[in-house]
Amino acid sequence: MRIMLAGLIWIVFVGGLALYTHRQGVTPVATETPGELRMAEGQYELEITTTFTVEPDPFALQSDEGEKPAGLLVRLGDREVLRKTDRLEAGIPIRVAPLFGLVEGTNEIYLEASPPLDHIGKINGVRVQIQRDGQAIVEQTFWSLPGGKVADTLRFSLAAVNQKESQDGHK
Amino acid sequence: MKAFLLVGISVLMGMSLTLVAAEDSVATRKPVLVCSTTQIADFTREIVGDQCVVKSILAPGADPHTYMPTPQDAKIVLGADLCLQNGLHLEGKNWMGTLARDANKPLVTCTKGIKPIELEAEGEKIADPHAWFSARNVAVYVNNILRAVSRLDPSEQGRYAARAKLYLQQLRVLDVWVREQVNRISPQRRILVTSHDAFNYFCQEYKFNSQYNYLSLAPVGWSTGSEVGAGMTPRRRKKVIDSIRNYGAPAVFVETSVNPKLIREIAKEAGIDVGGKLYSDSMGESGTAGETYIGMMRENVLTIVTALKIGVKEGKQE
Repeated sequence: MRIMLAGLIWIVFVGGLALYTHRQGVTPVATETPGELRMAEGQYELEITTTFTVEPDPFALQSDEGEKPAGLLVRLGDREVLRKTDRLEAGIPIRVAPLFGLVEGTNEIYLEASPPLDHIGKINGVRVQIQRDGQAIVEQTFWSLPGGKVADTLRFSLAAVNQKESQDGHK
Repeated sequence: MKAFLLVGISVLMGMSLTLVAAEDSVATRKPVLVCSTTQIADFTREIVGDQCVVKSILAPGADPHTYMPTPQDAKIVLGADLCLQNGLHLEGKNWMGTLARDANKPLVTCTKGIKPIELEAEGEKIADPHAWFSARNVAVYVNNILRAVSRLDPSEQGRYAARAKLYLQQLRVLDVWVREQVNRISPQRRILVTSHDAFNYFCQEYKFNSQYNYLSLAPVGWSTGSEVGAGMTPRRRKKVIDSIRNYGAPAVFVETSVNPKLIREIAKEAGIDVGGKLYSDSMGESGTAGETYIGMMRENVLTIVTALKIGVKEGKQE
């Protein structure tokens, strides 16, 4: 009788524990569902102009064999929208047209541009401009530390076509 | 009854704890990476963080050209998941390759993809192995190590790549800083004389020894061992002393991993001072400024710039 009772308690104890741990593993965690993203209306273009000759960065990450290091890299969120692995002359604008993927609300464009290594002590600049239907709506210039590469994020907000755009969250 | 229940529960809990502990030890078993030199170990640590165990066969201050592996080294390599070496015959008589082969372990050569500086000696062409003296080359080491550890442990590839990216940015900052510092020395005074021929990449990258096609000046060849083009010859010794006199080198430098006796004799004979001690084939002891690659390069550059620009007496070297 005692043995049966002990076995019963054992089954209840272990079974309960297993059920509890299983439920912990599968219980869905409450997640925040983001609001629906609306694509921004209009035709967008990105224009980038550097104050320096862009060269492939010898210090770039090359995780895949054979991948050429980029001198100029532009990302919209996780997506690469521009990768230049050749030498680019200073002052000549580079365009991405059309620029897809902009949404109503906050957008971020990340860019990296690599100057020649012998640019000792020089501060390098990159002007970034967003145009909608041929009109400049956002523009900003980013500067490097002396001799360093330019790496920064253009943050701007796009409203519906008839509303005013803002940069860095300022309306 | 109560005692019986208590014993039962205790046994169950004990078994559960044992199972949990066993599972933990399997899950936390870290890959072991065994590196030949202190530099390779430092680059590797920067990429893998604490996610792998990184060991270096060479201790700080040891000479990779003449090193003789010990039974303890063979034991360390036996426990490795991956071995990493510099290559280009830095590891004299291929000691790291032999250790890895004997233990049947995969071996990665970190200089793969670097265009070596070719030196000529006794009619033979020798690839200079001291490629880490250009920060730009170290970016190649880092990418090679990243690829190897990502293949070994693909589940952590993202974290390895993120660390490598940060380290590459630090290397770029270091490179720009070295150029800026070196630029303070006039090209005529930018003469680097060291114990052995380890600084060819440094001279080419940062423009020292223009009189010698931007190659290093040293009484001892590319290796301190007995290979072709290695060791000290009276001809090399004379060339160094003549160069110091002809071009007015302000100072000469000893190296932490090479016996300083010869370079001190040369300094005395040429009538100049020893400008300080440079890290070359090995980094500094733990706790010193030269214990990392970036620290080693920084200290070397400060020693060189101070001695060549300001002069030894004012710079208070040695």
